[in-house]
Amino acid sequence: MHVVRKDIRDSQEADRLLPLVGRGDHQAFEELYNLVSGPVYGLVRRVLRDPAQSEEVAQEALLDVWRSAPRFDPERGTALSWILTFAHRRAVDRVRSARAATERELKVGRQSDGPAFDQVTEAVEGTLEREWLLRCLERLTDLQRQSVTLAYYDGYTYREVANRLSVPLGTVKTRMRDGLTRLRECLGSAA
Amino acid sequence: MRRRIHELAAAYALDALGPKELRRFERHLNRCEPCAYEVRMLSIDTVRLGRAAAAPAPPQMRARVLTVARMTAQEQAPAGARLAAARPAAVRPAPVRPRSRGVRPRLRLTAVAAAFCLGAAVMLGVAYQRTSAELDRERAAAAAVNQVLAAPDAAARTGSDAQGRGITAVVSTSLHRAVVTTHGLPAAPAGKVYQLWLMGESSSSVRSAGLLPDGGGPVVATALNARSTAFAVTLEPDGGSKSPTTTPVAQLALVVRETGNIASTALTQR
Repeated sequence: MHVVRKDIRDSQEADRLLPLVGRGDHQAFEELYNLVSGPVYGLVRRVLRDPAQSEEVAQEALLDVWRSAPRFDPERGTALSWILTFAHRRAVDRVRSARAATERELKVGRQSDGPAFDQVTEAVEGTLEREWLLRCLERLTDLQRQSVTLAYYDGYTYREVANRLSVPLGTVKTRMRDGLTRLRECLGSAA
Repeated sequence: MRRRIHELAAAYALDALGPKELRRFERHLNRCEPCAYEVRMLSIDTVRLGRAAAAPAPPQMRARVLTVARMTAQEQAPAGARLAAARPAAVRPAPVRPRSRGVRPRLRLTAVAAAFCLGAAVMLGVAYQRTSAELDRERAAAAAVNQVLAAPDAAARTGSDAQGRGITAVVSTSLHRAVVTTHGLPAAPAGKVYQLWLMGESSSSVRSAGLLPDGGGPVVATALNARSTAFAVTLEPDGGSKSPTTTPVAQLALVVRETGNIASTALTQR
């Protein structure tokens, strides 16, 4: 299908470019930027919500990619996975320290659940891919889906997820794993 | 114990471990090939989740990231030791500077500026043979670059010609300064140097903005004003010239709006 092909093509292109970036090739970095800035910024924004902070964190993450590119080892995984990990970790770090600060300052209880995934995104690119993913997410059990999205899109640790969903730690670990595995079966593991 | 830690693979792939568990799991990952495989498989899903959130990045981010990258040294490739994970090791970036609410809008570029400091520090660290006078000069230069990048009104523009040669400038109208880099230019031949010019409205108001170091910059151009129309780069004899003696190899137009904001657009040059 079209979606999968674009998915694979972009991923392969990132795999081709990142080793060049690792040798200091600015032209390759510019091409890589064009390819990954949308996913990087969108993911950071999904976690942080605030556009100004998201821009700042996305910039940091993309510069992480530039600085660390010589350390990328293609045998160990895809370039896109490596890049999005920088972005996601940066975003999660930021949202966790912001939450910690808020809780210290205001001493308020936990806020209600964040908006559902499909309410937040406003992107124009990758809509087919997103629809497909949403359909697959719908096929998970509520607990599987919430375990995965609270962690990945809202930046909660698995302990916090267990706390919010009022389920034992072991259950959350299992649901995260089952959720991701079922997601892969639904989406196809080709990419 | 080993079984228990193995169960954390999914939480790890989702970046959902606390700092202590994260360190423990990564130590384990280095010794556990099946775990590394499982993390790689689970990462396929998290990449899908990440891509599904894609949104167009703010346009001004592009030139900023590409500009700062041009000024930032890269890490060395690891010799020998390899990470077992498909993911970068959880080496955390330097602690985020303290935030207070009042300064938030100003922070946009400071992170990038901080990243630049890091890069400059790396470069300085490598240059262990230099004299302290040279080091002082480099630190001063890095500080001047940083000041512009961190200005609240700093705006970056870039342009390239068909051969990929061009100029990138981060301009702060309030400081009347710009950080300028070039890209795609071949190394200057022996006895020659690339020189940056600030062009004015008439051909007589062309002013040298400095010599470009090997590798394309950065140079801090000063005293920009409403009559500044473009940056240009020419090849000049060593030491530079009083005024350009050759045709520019790259140009970047600056447009001063009535509000006083300087915007710039690329001029294509053969």
